[in-house]
Amino acid sequence: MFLRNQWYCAALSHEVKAEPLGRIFLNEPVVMYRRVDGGLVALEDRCCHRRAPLSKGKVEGDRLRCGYHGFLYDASGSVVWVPGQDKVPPDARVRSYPVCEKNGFVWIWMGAKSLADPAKAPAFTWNDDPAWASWTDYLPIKANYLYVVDNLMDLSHVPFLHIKTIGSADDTEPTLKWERGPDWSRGTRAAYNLAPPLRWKMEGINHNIDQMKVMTFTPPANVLIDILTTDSGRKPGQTPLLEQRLIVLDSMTPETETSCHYFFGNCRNYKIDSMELTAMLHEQTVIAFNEDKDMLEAEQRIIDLDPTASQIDVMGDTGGLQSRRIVDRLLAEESGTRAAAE
Amino acid sequence: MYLRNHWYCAATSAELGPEKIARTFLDQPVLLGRGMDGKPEALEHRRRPVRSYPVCERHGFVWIWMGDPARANAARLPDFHWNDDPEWDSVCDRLPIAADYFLLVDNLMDLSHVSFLHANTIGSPDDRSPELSWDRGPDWVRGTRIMRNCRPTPRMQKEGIDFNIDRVQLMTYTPPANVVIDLVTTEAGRLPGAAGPHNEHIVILDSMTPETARSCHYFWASARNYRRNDPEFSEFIRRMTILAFNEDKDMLEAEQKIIDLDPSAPQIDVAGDAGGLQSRRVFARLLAEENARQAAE
Repeated sequence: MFLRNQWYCAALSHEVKAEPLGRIFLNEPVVMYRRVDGGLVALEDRCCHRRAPLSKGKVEGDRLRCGYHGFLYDASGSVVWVPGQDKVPPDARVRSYPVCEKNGFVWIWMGAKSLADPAKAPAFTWNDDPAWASWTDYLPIKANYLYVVDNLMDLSHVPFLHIKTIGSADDTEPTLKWERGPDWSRGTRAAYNLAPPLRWKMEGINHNIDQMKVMTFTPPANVLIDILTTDSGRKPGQTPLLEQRLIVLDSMTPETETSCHYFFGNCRNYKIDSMELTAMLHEQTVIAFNEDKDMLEAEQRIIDLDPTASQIDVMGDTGGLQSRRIVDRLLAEESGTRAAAE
Repeated sequence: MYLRNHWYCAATSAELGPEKIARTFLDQPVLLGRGMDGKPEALEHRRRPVRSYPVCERHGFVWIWMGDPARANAARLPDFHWNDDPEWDSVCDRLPIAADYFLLVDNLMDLSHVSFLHANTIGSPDDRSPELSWDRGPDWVRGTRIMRNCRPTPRMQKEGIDFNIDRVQLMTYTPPANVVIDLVTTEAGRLPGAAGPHNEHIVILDSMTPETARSCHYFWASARNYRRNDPEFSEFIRRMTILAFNEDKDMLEAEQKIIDLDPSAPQIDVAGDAGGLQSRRVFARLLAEENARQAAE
């Protein structure tokens, strides 16, 4: 079961071009492309004729032609040409999905069209703010999307899973605080006097650091992590040697129950003109997130072996559990609304 | 559900030697090989006990009978004689496809896909409004498709053909899943009874054997009666056909994946689908008959 009346991340802006891009969201095949004016189109990726994926076809101006028998679709998903006959059957069409584009991310609405309000799509403003330097990337993960939420809301995994990249071995006794609103959940995690992780050493930072991480979940599956890194032991009012703010943008979209699309960005407000630093951060983060991918996919396989096997929760799981409670509540509300409407 | 009391293509003759080949037909594991006398053999591929299946070799293909052995009758083998007829030169091969074999029947009975899917190999960009007619008998379906004044296909351009063509395609389905396509190509605009410079007659023999409900063995041959005794040209035809049929494989496997995502998703039919739909109707009738017979026994 997935939440439907939500904006889900569908792509990074630069991924969608005047050629078809096929992805599965919430078990539904979707094809995306750009019209001549640069506007986005998202259609059901299943030809209404023989169910071939339209993403194997070609964009012709504002239209999309199926690569199998040449059925030609307009940007609204209606067929305008079929082979071998003059008349197009009246029911020859595929579903179209509302899409919008904000701050370098493309968002899709998989629910009731009348409820789609682009103003409610997440605004990852840091990603195209000139005061910040950023990059974005994408990883497909063969695991349920909420495992990625668990992972991002419980950063106690960082000193273990990411010890070769972004983790510090000292980071095992943070102070942790949790807050929640009706539609969000936030954790604040402060760690002091940590030996710099390898990635910071690569930036030339060899002294110990303090780190404050604020992890904010919003449904359906966005996690924003605001990381402030300073030199450790600084007294209040003292000028820091180091003050780095890094915002990690994460948005997970279910592909199936056991696989998801992981879109992420990384924005910083220091050394924003250093292309070298951008390249290094990009490379090291992708290495670290592949460590997550590897672990989450292994976790999914073990869960699939026996989905009834029990698990225990500890303090650090609070954020993930609260986030799951929000999704569950919204799911119940959605099915309640549907039941009332029917 | 499969038809059982039919001959299914199991291998090309060239594939079978003294080494055994393990292959699955209709969800059954089978071990294929040749005996001391060179005759093909097929055994159920289990630890024990094993049963043997009737097999028959004809015209360069080995056929297996997956039903009641008492009913196996070589007279019912499909006519694929073009593959070893001394008047014809033929190339043949097998392609495994991870898709329902009937998606391939649909594909072969609706050649409107050729202009799009095979635009880089065997399709003409002008093949968009052919004349189509359909015939059917109790156990066969035939489509006649006439293309006129079309630019030559990339394959023909590679042969140096730079004039427009006319082409007649006859697609004949016989159960369980054989499709023979007869292709006659001439220079465009030839009048009835007139002679002309370009005379291509190609017969494509296709036989699809289900491996599982979602995968099949695609056996094919391409026989021709022009540019004979030209091994280089045979090799060219073989390579181009493999290229084109891999375009089908790629699309059919993608189609199967989309169908599996939601098998209940509807689809619409157009005029070009008549042959595939009629073939499915022949198949469904025979399946009902076979099931009724089995229930009676």
